[in-house]
Amino acid sequence: MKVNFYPGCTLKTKASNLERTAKASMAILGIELEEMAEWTCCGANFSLANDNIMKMAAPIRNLARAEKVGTELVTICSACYNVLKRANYAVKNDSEKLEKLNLFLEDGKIQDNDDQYHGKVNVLHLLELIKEKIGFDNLKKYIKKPLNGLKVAPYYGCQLIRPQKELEIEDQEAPEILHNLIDALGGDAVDYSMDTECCGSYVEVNRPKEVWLASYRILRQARAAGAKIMITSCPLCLYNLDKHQFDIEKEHSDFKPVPILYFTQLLGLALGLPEEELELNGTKVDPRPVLKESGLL
Amino acid sequence: MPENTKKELNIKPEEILEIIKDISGQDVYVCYQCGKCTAGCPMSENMDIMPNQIIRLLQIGAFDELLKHNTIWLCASCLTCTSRCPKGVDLARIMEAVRLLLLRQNVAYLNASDIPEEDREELPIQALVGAMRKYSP
Amino acid sequence: MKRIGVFVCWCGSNIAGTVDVEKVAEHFRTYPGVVHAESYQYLCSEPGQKIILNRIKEHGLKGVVIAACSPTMHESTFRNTVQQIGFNPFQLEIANIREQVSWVTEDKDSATSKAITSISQIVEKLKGNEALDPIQVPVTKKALVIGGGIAGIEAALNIAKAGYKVYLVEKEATIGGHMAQLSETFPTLDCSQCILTPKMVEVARHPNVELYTLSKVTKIEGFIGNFKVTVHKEPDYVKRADCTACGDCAEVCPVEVPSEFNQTLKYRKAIYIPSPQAVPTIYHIDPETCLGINPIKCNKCAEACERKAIDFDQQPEDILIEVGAIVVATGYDLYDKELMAEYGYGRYQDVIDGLQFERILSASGPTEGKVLRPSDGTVPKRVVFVQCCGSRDPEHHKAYCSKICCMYTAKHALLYKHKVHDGKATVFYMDIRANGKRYEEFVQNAIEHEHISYLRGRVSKIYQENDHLVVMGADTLSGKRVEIEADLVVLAMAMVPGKGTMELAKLLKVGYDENGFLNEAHPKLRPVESLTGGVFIAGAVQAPKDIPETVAQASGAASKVLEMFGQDYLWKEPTIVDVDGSLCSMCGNCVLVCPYGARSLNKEKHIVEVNAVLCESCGACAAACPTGAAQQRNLTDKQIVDMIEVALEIK
Ligand SMILES: Cc1cc2nc3c(=O)[nH]c(=O)nc-3n(C[C@H](O)[C@H](O)[C@H](O)COP(=O)(O)OP(=O)(O)OC[C@H]3O[C@@H](n4cnc5c(N)ncnc54)[C@H](O)[C@@H]3O)c2cc1C
Ligand code: SF4
Ligand code: SF4
Repeated sequence: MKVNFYPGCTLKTKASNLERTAKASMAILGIELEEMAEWTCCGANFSLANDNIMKMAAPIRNLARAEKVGTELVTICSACYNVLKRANYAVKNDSEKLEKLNLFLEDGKIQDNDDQYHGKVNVLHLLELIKEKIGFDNLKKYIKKPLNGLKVAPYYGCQLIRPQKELEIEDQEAPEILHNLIDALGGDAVDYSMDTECCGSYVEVNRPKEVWLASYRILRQARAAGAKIMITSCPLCLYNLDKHQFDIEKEHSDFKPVPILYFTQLLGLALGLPEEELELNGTKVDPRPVLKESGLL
Repeated sequence: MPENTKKELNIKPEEILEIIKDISGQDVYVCYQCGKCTAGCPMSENMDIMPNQIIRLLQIGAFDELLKHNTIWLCASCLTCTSRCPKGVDLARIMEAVRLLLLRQNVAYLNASDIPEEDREELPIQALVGAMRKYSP
Repeated sequence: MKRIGVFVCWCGSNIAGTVDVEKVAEHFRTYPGVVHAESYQYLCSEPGQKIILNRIKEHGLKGVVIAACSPTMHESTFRNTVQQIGFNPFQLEIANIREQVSWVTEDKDSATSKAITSISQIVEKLKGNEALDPIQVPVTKKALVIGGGIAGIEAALNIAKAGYKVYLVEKEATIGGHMAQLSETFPTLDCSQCILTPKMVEVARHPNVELYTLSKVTKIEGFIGNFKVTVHKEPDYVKRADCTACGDCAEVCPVEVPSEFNQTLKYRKAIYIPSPQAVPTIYHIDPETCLGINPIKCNKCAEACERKAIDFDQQPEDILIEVGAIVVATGYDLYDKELMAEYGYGRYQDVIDGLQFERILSASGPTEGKVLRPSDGTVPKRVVFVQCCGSRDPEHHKAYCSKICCMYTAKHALLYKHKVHDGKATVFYMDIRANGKRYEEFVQNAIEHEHISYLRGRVSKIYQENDHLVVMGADTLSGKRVEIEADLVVLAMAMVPGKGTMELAKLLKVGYDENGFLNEAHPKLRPVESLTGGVFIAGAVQAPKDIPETVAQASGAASKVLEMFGQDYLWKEPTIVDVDGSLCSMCGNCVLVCPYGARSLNKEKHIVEVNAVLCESCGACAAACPTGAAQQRNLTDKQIVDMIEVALEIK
């Protein structure tokens, strides 16, 4: 089965391992992530200004192009998911907005075959695709290397789950989808109370110290709950959570760094992808020792 | 890192709430100052006034006072406040509106050139694009 | 022709400001059949009424039209007035020229001509009116009280002591309601059980009270003064007369389930008594959890009972009772803490609700009054109380203020400090609403003397960390975000109407608001009546309230019942729909459409019989009758046609 796939900027640069591990894992599961043609950057965050809908032009243009291929568009990066899905929600519930944006798309045609958007696309996160098209129970059948009860902290962050009314993927106060994935892979999803707290997001660019504090709260709780490793679906979350751990360790001697992986890397590991394809060398805190210790490498 | 915080607005005070409403779709008078937004804000540790106080200052028309504080620039748009507000106030949008009130006077809070070279190399693109959209006109 | 008088009221400027009242009066001075017309400032005033009486005498009037406000306001006022001088009240009609004319019309000319049309219609109708006598309805002087909380107990006792029979129906195995679960009560801190138990015993023993526990009302027929009610009683499976409440049966019962009375903080058996003070003081079997209500399945309790009181053969019963009045006092429940997502969906053992804390504080509770937390039975040294949980949150939960939580939270913090001297009590609040006699003093006293830390702000999240909880809150007074560690968190959950209130309201045809609380007939002037005649409301089923207010309302409801029982008859409007036997074809249409079951076909006598007492004068049958045999008194087809014709100016 082929699905239309929107990678977004970060997956083409810093987070290329997220894209590659996703594609390789999904291939094992019989799903081909086919990159949509002529995609552009979604804008990275959903504009919160009501009075300037031009900020929604980029996501809507992408949706218009996706619509020509089919009714589903799959993303992996939480931020892309958030922007595309919220923009989609906004125009689906406000025909005037959609009309204005279509006029703009018409005017600003970048290419001849640029179309209008009709609100037919359904934006899906890869996690939803796995849940719906394969099913977590069924997923177990594909597993070559079960995670042996490895204690994994699922980290949802903000973009994947808020606002619940628009994204509708999960209960924003008690999401489960990553938990279910971990358990299906043979791991042990740890419950800790910070899995939906913000990592600090783009504030990192300007005030890294603030992001530190936010990350520390999250990591400390995950550790306390026994996590050996953490997974996420957002490149920025991964960056923020990973980046400051040694600094934190210096300040808080009782803190032990927690390696962070993309959920697709963990998925690939359980599906039996060879180590080099998992690209486990992208983070400051090296996940390999923990994985070796647990007999997974 | 340099921060070009503008400390005054060239907008008539009586128009400010209207503009805030246009941008955010939010009426600040709906807020009853319960503080739940503040209670859950992950970035509040170093904010010099709390998120609920941003709305309070808008309610009492203390606009100049509002601009002295770093709160709006520390907000990460995480929507924790929005999702839990008992009155349905979308504070993240109000934060955005106050930021835009300033940015639209063509003053950047942060320019791309202010970001050190090595950070630009290392940061994920989404952080850079996101920050530019939040911090510059 | 009938000699008719027309009186046009100014209603100050309410009518006269828009309608040219003198011109209207002038118009009717020459109207066929009208022998007198005048306008007056306030007809409903004492002098206004006197004018009407005088004119009736002077002009020998046989019909009166009052052109004034809506008949729901003053029809009965004027009809009662004219009755004093022997004038038949049904020869007086109201033309509504205020709500239907002056208030909704701007232009004076059109308002005036519209008023003239309205009055003309009523004059035409009046020409066809007959003198009628009100229908006498007997009153069954017995009352039904539904719900045996403090509201129901108080109302039942008031009525019983006045000498009337009361049926008290309670769905649980004991009466007492939530008050029986409370520890001590604000603002005086007297022990709840100590003041309630005597009343529970008194009401159950009163010769005029018949108590049905484990019972529900399942059917209600009839109308004010004459209700026929079916009460469905579940069996106790224990012979009341023989049970001494020794408890031998429960000792041997192998089933353990969370105790409802103790808010799940303790276990009970399948055969149990909710609390030692329960009334009636007997054990009963919960068939849901018993291994089978069948001696072959278990029979341990029956074997243990020396008095052979266990009776597996008892069957549910449907009891038919007849009453004249009903008091609904089915109380409240707490909003479920499992609905509070950000406070852990009820999954943290040491995050409890207010009633659970009452049980912990209560000497008869699961910890015998010692403050111990549920998870590990240790004494919590840091307790955080969170007010307004689920209340005042229109976005996710309930928009209203639950009114009593400020008070019971202050009480909880105070009692906690009385029991754990070195403990730290913190309260998160938004406003303190302590508006009752000695309430504000109570709260301030608690804060000052017990050094309770009141933080002004809502709580965003509660989570577990190791062996304690962390409460993420704010203190908006100091402009700070705070994280407070706690060993126990008590949520002051919103009060909501008791489960099943809505179904009961539908059965009784009583209105309820958007939150499910029962509606009073008038928010100020008729606070204990419902809009359905003969049905009264009391206690927390109407809105969140504390015990003093509940008791006051219960006494109010009882006095309304007694006001009814003080009369031998109720009077009912006689404008029912009769049948003209000579026109009736016995098609039965009217019988089918009548929503009140007031009509029946008597095939032998070849007539349709109308029960005047049951007929509510809705007119459905008159509209359905194809032959014109069914005619409503004083609103016959002819009268209606006359009114239409005059309005269309074809008469
Ligand atoms: C934590 C807490 C602490 C409190 N502390 C105080 C205090 O210190 N002082 C104070 O003044 N007030 C206090 N209150 C308030 C007090 O509990 C109420 O005011 C009082 O119990 C209301 O009485 P009620 O009879 O209206 O309702 P309830 O006590 O709820 O009684 C209703 C009764 O009706 C029965 N019932 C329900 N539905 C049906 C049905 N369909 N058929 C038959 N029976 C039915 C129920 O089983 C129950 O027995 C407190 C409340 C809470 C939650
Ligand atoms: S949570 Fe909502 S109502 Fe409460 S202070 Fe914040 S914005 Fe205002
Ligand atoms: S959106 Fe901004 S103000 Fe609101 S909780 Fe997140 S960081 Fe704080």
